[in-house]
Amino acid sequence: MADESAGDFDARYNPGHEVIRVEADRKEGEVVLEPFLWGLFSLGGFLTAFLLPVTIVAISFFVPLGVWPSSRIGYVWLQGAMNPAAANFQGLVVRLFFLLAIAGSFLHGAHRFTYMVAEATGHRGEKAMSLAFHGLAVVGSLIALYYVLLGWLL
Amino acid sequence: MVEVREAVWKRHGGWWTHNRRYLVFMFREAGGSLSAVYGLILLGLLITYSQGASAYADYVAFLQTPAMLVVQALILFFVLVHALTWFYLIGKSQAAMSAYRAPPWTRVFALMIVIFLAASAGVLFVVFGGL
Repeated sequence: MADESAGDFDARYNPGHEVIRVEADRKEGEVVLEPFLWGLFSLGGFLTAFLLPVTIVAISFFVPLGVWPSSRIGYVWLQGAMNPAAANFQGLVVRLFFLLAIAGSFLHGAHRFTYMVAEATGHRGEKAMSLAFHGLAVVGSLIALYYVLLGWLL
Repeated sequence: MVEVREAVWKRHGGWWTHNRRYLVFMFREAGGSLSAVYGLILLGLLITYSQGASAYADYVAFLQTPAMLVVQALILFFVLVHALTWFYLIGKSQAAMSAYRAPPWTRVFALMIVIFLAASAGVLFVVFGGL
């Protein structure tokens, strides 16, 4: 065993990373679903953080605050914005925006809600809650996909 | 011989109310959860749009009732807490994970704010046709 002295100390050494590499060699009881769900949660969190605040302000508050006339978020606006034949692919981009904002918030919210309740209540029934909320998020995302494709491919 | 007793660790249900950092943690969790509620509101917009102009107008009018505006203001508050505290944590966690070789968290936070503002402007112009 190498003799370590205070002079050999390397500030860049990160013991946390070493532990992760050791654990990665273990094959027994590999977790498959959890990293996948965590990836969706992470992607949803990214989309939620960047897209949702401005969307809430525009759709929910600009008209009541008198910043925009009501026509700015009216039926004709959405009809024009979601028109797949719109110039510069705007219609397709807007449809993609709605899909990402809705599915992202569902997938992120399901994960956060599961663990918020679990943390607050001492992890009782965590697995059942996780299945139920993630299942609802997937169903909700598929419904959003249907309505995004409606009027374009459906 | 020393007797080793197994201690069962239990956490009090309201543990997060006794510390400001834990409270902010729970606020961030709430922001993430409430984002799904706004996802439902957006889904309602698409569903009523598919049902025609009258259903859509009724739905938008419902969203602008005082009670719904309060609900949406709460959602906005928690969603902003969620986003801003996450930007803060990115800088903090990068520093720890890279053995403090990452840039200072303030620089990372400022960069995230710039990206956030650029993304918000992009949504305003592409989806809503400008300010």
